[in-house]
Amino acid sequence: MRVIGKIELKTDLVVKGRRFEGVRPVGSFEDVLEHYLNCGVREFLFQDVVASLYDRAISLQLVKVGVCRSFYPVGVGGGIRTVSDAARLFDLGVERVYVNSGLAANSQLAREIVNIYGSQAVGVAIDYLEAQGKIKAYYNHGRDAHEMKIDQLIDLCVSSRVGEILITNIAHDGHPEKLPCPSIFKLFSSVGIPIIFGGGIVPERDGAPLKNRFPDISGVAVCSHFLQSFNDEA
Amino acid sequence: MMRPKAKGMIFVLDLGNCNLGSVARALEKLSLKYAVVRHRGDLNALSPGDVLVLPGVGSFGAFMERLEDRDLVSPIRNFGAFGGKVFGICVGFQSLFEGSAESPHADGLALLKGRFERMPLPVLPSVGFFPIKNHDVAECFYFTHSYGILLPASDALEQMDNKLIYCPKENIDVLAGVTDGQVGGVQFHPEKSGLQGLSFLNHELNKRNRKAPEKD
Repeated sequence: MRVIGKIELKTDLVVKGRRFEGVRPVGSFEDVLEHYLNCGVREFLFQDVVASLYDRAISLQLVKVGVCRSFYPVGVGGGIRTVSDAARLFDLGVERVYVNSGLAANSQLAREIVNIYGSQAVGVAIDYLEAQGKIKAYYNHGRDAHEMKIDQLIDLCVSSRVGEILITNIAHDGHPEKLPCPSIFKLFSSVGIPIIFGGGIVPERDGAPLKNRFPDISGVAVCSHFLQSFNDEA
Repeated sequence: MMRPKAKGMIFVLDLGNCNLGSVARALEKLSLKYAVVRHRGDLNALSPGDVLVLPGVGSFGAFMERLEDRDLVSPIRNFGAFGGKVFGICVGFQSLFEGSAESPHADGLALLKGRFERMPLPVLPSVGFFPIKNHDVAECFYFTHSYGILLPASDALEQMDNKLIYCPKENIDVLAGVTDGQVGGVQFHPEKSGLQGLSFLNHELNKRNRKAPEKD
C-alpha cells in the first residue's frame, strides 16, 4: 500500500493542527522533509493550509526545494484555482495537483487540468465530517461546507476523470491515537479511481486492516505519525 | 586505427507540458549534460551517438498531437529508424510503439512493435512503486499509467529478450520497459524513483551515449 507523507504548510513553515484547527509550527521545511525521507517516505504531499483562505498560491520556492531534494513523486494542494496555478507547479516537476476549494468556485477546474495534463496529474481532495450518519464535505481547510453533496462531489471526480481522490477525516486529523472510521468507503465502491485515505493514520497499524476492508484503497496519507517521531528526535 | 569512443550528447524533448522539469533535474543530479529539443530545427544538432530522451505525461493522443504540431514526428521517426538512439519515459516510451487504445486515431512512431491496451485492473490509473520481475535490481520503481502492453503479447515483442516486466496485479504481466536496443525506454519514471531510479537512468543513458568510433 502506498504511504504518502503529508507536510502541511503555512507560508514557509511546517505546521500541524488538530481537526484542521489550532495549527502550530513544527519546524523548518528542510528538516521535516529530511525526517520523512529518513522514515522511508517515497511519495509526498505538500499542502498549504491557508493558501485558499488568503487567496494566494503555495510557495513555489518550497515546492522546488521539495522536488529537487526528494526525486520522488510530489503532490501539491492548497490555493490551486486555475489551470495556470497548476501549470506553474507542473513546470517545477510536481507529479500531481490536488484541488478542493478551487472546485467551489469552478466545478470544472479538475476537468480543465485533466484535459491538458492527463488524469494522473490531478487529484481531488475531499475533507469530510460525519455527524448523525450524514457525511458533509468541506473546503478552505474545513472552514466552509461545499454546496455539493458528497455523492455529487464523487460523481464530479469520476466525470472529470481525475486520477486520484484524497479523502481526509477531519475529526481524526492530528489524532493518530484514534482508529480510522472507514464508513465513508461505502460511497466509493466501484468508483474505479485510486483512493487515498487520511486523518490520524498510522501506516503499520491501519494499512492492512484498511486494505482488507476496502481492497480498492490505493494508499494512505500520513502526517501526525511522522511528525510525532520528528518531535521525539528534536 | 579507431580512436576510443567519446560520449555523445543527450537531447531532451520539451513539448511544454511533458515532465521536462523532473527529467532535467535528474540529469543535472547525475552530472549529465543535455540540450533541449523543442522544434524540428533543434533536431539538426543530433548526430549518431547522441541520445534523444522523450519524457512524457498525459495521454498518448495528446503527446502525439503535440509532436505533430511541432513537426517532430518524421524527424524523430527517421532518427530512430536509421540508428539514432532514443529513450522514452512513460508516455514518451508509449509513443515509440505503433499505437494505443487510449487514442485509437493517433499513430505512434512505430519504432517498436506493439499496441497499448487499457489494463484490466479494478482501479486506474495503476499508481505506485513496483519491482521489476526480470531485472537484477531488487528495488521498486514508480509507475503511474492506465494503458500498458499486456504480456504475452505479439510474437515480435515476445522474441525481444531485452524487455522488462512488472506485475501491477497478480497474474497480470505488463511491459515495464525495453532496454539494450538503440530504441527503448521505460513505462515507469526513473526520475521519480529515488536513488535507484537515478542509478537506472544513468546506466541506460550511458549505455547508449557513445559517439561512433572515428578513424585516424
